Amino acid sequence: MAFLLDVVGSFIIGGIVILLLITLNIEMTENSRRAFENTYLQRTAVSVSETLEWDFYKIGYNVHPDSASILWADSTSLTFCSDIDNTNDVDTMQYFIGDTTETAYSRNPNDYPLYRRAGGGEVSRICNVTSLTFVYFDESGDVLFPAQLAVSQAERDAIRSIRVNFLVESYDPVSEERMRVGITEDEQDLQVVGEGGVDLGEGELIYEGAEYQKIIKLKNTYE
Amino acid sequence: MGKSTLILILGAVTLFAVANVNVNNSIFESGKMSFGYFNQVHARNVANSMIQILLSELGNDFDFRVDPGDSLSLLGGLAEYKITDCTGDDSMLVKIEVNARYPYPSIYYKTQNTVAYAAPGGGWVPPFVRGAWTANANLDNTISDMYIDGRNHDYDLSIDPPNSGRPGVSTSTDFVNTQNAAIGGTSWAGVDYPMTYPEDPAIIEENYDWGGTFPVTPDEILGYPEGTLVSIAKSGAYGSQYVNNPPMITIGKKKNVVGALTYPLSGVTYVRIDNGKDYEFFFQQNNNSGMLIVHGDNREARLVGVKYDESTCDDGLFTGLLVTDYSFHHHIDILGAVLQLSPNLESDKECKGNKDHWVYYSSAAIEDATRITSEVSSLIGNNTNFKGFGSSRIPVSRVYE
Repeated sequence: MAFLLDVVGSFIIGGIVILLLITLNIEMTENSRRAFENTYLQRTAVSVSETLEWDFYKIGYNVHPDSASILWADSTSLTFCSDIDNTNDVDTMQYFIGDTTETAYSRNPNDYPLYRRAGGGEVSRICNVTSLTFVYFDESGDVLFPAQLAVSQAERDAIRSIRVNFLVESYDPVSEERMRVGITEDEQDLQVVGEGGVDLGEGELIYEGAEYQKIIKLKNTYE
Repeated sequence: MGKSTLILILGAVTLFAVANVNVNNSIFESGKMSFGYFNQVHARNVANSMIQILLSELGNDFDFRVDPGDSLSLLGGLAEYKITDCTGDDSMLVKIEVNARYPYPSIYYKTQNTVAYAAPGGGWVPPFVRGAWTANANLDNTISDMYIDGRNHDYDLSIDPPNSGRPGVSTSTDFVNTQNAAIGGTSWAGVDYPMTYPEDPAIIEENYDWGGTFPVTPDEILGYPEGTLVSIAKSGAYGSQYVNNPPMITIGKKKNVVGALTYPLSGVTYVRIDNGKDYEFFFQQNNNSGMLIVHGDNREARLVGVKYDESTCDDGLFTGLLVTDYSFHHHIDILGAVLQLSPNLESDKECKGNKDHWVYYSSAAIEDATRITSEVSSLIGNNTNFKGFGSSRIPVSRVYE
């Protein structure tokens, strides 16, 4: 009888220990993955910001005073002239985005590619972003609105600084839990409904993200 | 069972340790990247601050050069810098090179190389020069029957660059071409129109509303503090001259000529007149250039003739910016622009027989004139043709960072 109790007790205690260890390892693996994901995203954000800053600080460099430095500017694309590589040849640089259908390999439904094109060269994808905004300011710090920027070169010539904001997110959700943005009627149901029972669709999956924001003052446009 | 449990525990601890090392590595990498980016931003700040300091030094001393280079500890970093002469844009530039490191001393420093090209003494076309001939008054009689062209002319009188000039005439009143002058220019839409009579309305700016901003003194034209141009003229720099209520001299049959001037004119020639007398200008030699100013305290200086002595001059050409209060009978050629300050220009008399003289707008000629004022005064005035580092005393032509 005592032997049987020892065996049963050992199984119970061993089972608990094993369960604890398995849980611990799962948690560690998840944390490790998230930490890696986070590092990767930070590296991506820093790398993209370095590329953007390298180019944007040179907007208008070596461009003749009678020529326009910024040829197109809206909230998600920018075309400008600059002698980027300091060779006395002025290149036309383009930054623009694609759409979410171009990132089918990613489980993140919100990401889309950010493209860069130097001179007449090939278009290169810098990274995928889930949000990108360019905001333009004149010499007084007043915002220049895209509607005017689209139709007026004089308005584009007035750009003195650009606020760049982008968000990079992981391709995969960090967990399968969904962020609830409304009141759930049924905890078991992932459908999210708002007040009054309005169906908000499935909640957003949570993705790891890194955000960058900076106002870049242009030194090569006229003061 | 005991051994199995022990093996499981050891295995779990090993997995835990590996995962923990991975997490720590990731956190370390994240920190390193943030630290690196932070250092990079600071290195840029050190470089920009150093350039500001050097621009300020250049503003104090135009001849300030550092070659070979030097270094300065700044904001927790180190800035190595060099200032040399170089050429660019057809003019002399000063090249400021800064290599900044942050933090310093440290093995984790980041570097930032920034090069700024300063253009001390850069010339510009003042914003008040809105036409080949500009006035805040009626110009119907003053322009006579001259050829007036607001297209941008180079020194060889070619249109260069095209579509970059000004209207032929800019006035704050109605304009009627009473004496059939041939007028051309560049419209504000940037289109060149050759000189014709009747002129194209696109190159006549009439009823322009200055909103009370029209200058009442020559200094205001350039955005300078009062007395700057007088100081430059008195300094004698680049042949500048200053005369106050000059003597009236007679040259040949020409009377009441502004005396006490040495020809050819260059730099800033400032003739101050407030004695109420009517003077005439009579160029005595060719190659007159710069800024020629004839002005009185209440914009009442009167030039009843602007001519040249055919016995000593070939062409009567003046290159640069002619600024007068009231002037009439302009029997010379002007490459640059004319700007008149008086609100009461000639409204009765006509000046005939002037069909052999012209006023051609030239940004090059005006910039050469204002380059002198900028260089001598170390003031940028209302010059907006510079870049980078805000409004400093030394214009910056471009920045590479």
